[in-house]
Amino acid sequence: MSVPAAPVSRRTALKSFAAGVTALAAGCKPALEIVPHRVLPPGMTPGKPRLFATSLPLGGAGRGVLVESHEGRPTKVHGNPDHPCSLGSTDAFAEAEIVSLFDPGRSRTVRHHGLPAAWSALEGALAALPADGAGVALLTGRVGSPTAARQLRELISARPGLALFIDHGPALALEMFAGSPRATQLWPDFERLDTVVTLGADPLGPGPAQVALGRGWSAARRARPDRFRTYAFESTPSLTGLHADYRERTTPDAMSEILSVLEHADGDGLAARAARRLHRTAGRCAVLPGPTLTADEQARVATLNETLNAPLRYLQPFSSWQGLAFGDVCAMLGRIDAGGIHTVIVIDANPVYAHGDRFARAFKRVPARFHFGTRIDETAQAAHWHGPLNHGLEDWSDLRGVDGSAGLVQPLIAPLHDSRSVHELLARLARGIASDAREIVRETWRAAWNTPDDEAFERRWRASLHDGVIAASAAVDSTRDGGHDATPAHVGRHAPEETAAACVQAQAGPEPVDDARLGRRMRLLVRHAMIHDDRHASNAWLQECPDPLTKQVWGNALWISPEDAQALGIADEALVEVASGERSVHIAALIVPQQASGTVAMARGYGRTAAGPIGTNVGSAAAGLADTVLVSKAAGRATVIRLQTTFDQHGRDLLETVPSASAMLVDDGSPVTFYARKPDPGPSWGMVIDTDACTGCNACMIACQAENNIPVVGPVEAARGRRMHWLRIDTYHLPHGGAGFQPVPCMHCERAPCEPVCPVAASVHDSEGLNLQVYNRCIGTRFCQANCPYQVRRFNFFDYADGQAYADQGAELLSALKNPDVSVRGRGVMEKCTYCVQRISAARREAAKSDRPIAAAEVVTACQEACPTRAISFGDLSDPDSEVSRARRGPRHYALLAELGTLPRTTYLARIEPADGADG
Amino acid sequence: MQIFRPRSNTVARSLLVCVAALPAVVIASGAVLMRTQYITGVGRTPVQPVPFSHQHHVAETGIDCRYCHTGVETSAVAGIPPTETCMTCHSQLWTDAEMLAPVRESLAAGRRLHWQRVNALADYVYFDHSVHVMNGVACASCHGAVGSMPLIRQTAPLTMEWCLACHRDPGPHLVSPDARFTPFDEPSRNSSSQARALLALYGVTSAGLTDCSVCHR
Repeated sequence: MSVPAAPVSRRTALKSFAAGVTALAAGCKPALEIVPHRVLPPGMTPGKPRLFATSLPLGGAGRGVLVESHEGRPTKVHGNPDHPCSLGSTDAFAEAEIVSLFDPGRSRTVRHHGLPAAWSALEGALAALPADGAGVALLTGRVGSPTAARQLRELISARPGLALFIDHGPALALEMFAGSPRATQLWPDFERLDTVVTLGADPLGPGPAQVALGRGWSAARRARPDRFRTYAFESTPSLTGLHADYRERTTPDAMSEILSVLEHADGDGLAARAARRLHRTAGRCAVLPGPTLTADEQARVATLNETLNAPLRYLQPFSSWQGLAFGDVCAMLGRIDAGGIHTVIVIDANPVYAHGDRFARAFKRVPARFHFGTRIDETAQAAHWHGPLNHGLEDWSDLRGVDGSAGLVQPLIAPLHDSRSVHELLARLARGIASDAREIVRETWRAAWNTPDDEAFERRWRASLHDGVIAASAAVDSTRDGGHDATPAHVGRHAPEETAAACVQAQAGPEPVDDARLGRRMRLLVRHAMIHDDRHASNAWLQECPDPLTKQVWGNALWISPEDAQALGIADEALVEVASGERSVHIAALIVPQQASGTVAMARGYGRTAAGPIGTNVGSAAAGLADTVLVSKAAGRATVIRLQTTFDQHGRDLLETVPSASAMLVDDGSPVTFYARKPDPGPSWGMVIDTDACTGCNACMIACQAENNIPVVGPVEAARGRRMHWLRIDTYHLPHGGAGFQPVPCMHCERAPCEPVCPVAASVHDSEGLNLQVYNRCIGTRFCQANCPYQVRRFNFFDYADGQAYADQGAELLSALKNPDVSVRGRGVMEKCTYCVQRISAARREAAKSDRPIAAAEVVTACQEACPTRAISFGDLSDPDSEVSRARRGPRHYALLAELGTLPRTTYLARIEPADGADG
Repeated sequence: MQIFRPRSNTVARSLLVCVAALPAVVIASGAVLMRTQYITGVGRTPVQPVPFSHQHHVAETGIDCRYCHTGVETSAVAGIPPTETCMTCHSQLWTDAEMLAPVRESLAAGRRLHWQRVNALADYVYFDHSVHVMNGVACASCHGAVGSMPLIRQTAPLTMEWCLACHRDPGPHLVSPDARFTPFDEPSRNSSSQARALLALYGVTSAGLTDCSVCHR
């Protein structure tokens, strides 16, 4: 892996030379074509983007989005304000989905034994399966699509011998009894909450409900800043725990004790204080269980919540479907071992990676293996047949959100490759005939809506397509009349009917020996990081998106507590061996002060062996390791690529904290000056970022990347300390054990240090207070970068965007996702946050066309739009009633490095940190 | 014997002058060259797949600019008409003209017409037709007297200097609302009183019009 030298062969060089000569001869104007449509598609105006509502899956559950399409080319994902799992915001994964669509590493053709084949051949092989399905096993990921669930039911009734297995995957945030018949999704009513106690739960963490839960949590914190308190007891730092008012490191084994204290409210310590507050605020408090709790402990939490009369809803999990019987992966392994299966069909899942060697060995024993998915992954490589499936932005479908509300999925673009819809595949398996995905989805809703006539159906179909969410498809409570019974009797069968208990033990392997010389026995926690799971490992934007706490990119590490690190005698970035049973991995260790001693944590989805040029051999796989592992020191060091290495503020008050919402900051940050400030005639743009609302989810970073055509630099360049993100998030460890997050875009200083040092006036101000970077003037001296105290300027050391892009990131296909309203910067050019000047310009032009001033809140920056907790406000500082002006007058307002006198236009609101014991 | 003859003094002096003048001459000729038609492309008449005559369609037939360039009042791009628009008339008129064969073929075979771009801006320039047209800039101000062109050609140099001439002082270049879509002559410059009236009518102020962010982003 090295930075590619410009890949110019002699032939290409001669061609370019000839083209240059021709251009010169033709008057320096390269011939450009305009190719109008034959018939203009209805509703399209060339040059004007359009938005289409659809849903994107994460872990199987949908989040509603609006996708921006430029002349049929999807370029940007926006939130859908009408969808309850989006509320107008997005998460990092939804924003990055556009790269997955255009990813040049996607599977493009049917493969048979790894060689290209035709769909007709694959269809022939499927047609040869036994008519009753005997001996055929079908394995999929969690099913969130009502149409897919209906088709699976039809498939089983058409082929009664076929066995359906579902790979449940990790539990979602606030999912209780995951994978069991009692599985229930907790849905807190944040408006009625004053106290939240989490036992390893991470409602603010990555997942399909991150936006909805984050919005509720931040709204409560904003509305009742001095009443709403979060207490976190957790083993490995989560976004919720890092932002909790009070946090304690707890091993999973000690959770039971904490729970006892919460139940009886005695003793002292944080748990007792939390317990007293719980009982004091009964009816306005909730205890949220995490995935490490045992079933018994979860039942105790449910009872405790009932006693406390917690404002929680108990929903059916999004993947629960009436009358759909299935087994889990362990059951499938049992059946394969028993020899009852001769054909396995895997659809949209990668069990060979996710379940480690044991699954891989069993899978390879099956005589006929089919895989359908968007990529040639580990399972595809182990299968005889592979068929490419459409990406979610190329397909018709429907998806349920975590809260149960369904939305339709419509294609934004025709399939880029020779791929098929998963619904067409299921229809072919069930009925043996080809049908159209759109018709299959319409069939589902025709039956569900039961409209009187075709016209009424058509009306409702069009309305649902337009809105992106199906009216009255809302969540189903699994409780009786709003009561608080977490063990509902009438919940549909949405959990495996068949599990093989032996499999779990087999995976755990023999007990590791606890020998100080050999290493330490520790509890392994597998967490979601910025690639979420193996599905996103090939996404370059997410690979280069730093972990919120450690700022690691392009890989994962073993998080270990300082105590354990000392006991093992290891330092940061030391190589360690993690072993359980026959499996062992080597991985770099990172000492994380927030990690509970006796536990270690690893991010899932890394260590892929078949994830294309981006994701292959990045990090180490946690898949296949048991809950308890033996951690020992290995020889050597590994490189951990981090975009921030010190998390201490060194006494500089960069991230200010205040003890309560009304407390005034001593210094409001406006320096004394002799120079009178001239009022600007037009709008004066400014941004205020509320660090108390920021949860560090990184949605803004990826939204900025998508909006502003920001390339990735790749691991080699990132290890040199280079990056292109216009917006970074600085993380600082806070005294009470949590961490604070501070998004840092360009400050647009009124007295910008970057401007006087530019020899060519490429860094200049405009009349609305924007600090501009004029790319076509920039000659790349980097003086501005050196002189920027906020270090927000980014330099194109190489042609990252095109000719010298990392791995396959320069592929022609990827140029399709570029925003046509923003320049693509070349080598040797400085760039930085522009406050989304293209959106300001669009608003200014619209206003100028109708002779009116720009309306309040007409300009929304990409980061502001994406933010799930509404931490970013942007607007006109010359309007005293604008949101930013009001925020600037608040007591928590401060400017970063205000003492430098740069008068930044981007300012912050301080984080609220109640004094220890204030809520005892 | 003298090596240098008296004439050498003159040669040496003129050489000194030349050396001193050389940078100035190079810069000046560069500046002049950049403004020549050879570089700017003024007068360039690309060969189009169909020899479409604006003179015939606009001046002689009286079709409005916006009949074909539909996006000009709402979108950044004015838009080249789809084949369908040509065929609204040419399915009835000149139905077997040799010249129109590519148009008929496009509609029948579903192939798009490939027109040659006449007015091209650099990739880092973002131009919006609608905001100009809605604020009193006539089509002819940039595209010239299209109504008298049998074949379309470039009439403006499209240099930054040329853009800024208007952005620095838009008043003299604006036209009244009803004169925007009559491309028969290049508009004459307004008197200062006309300019003031038009600026007030369209609500145009020159403040901020020369900010870099207006065209580059």
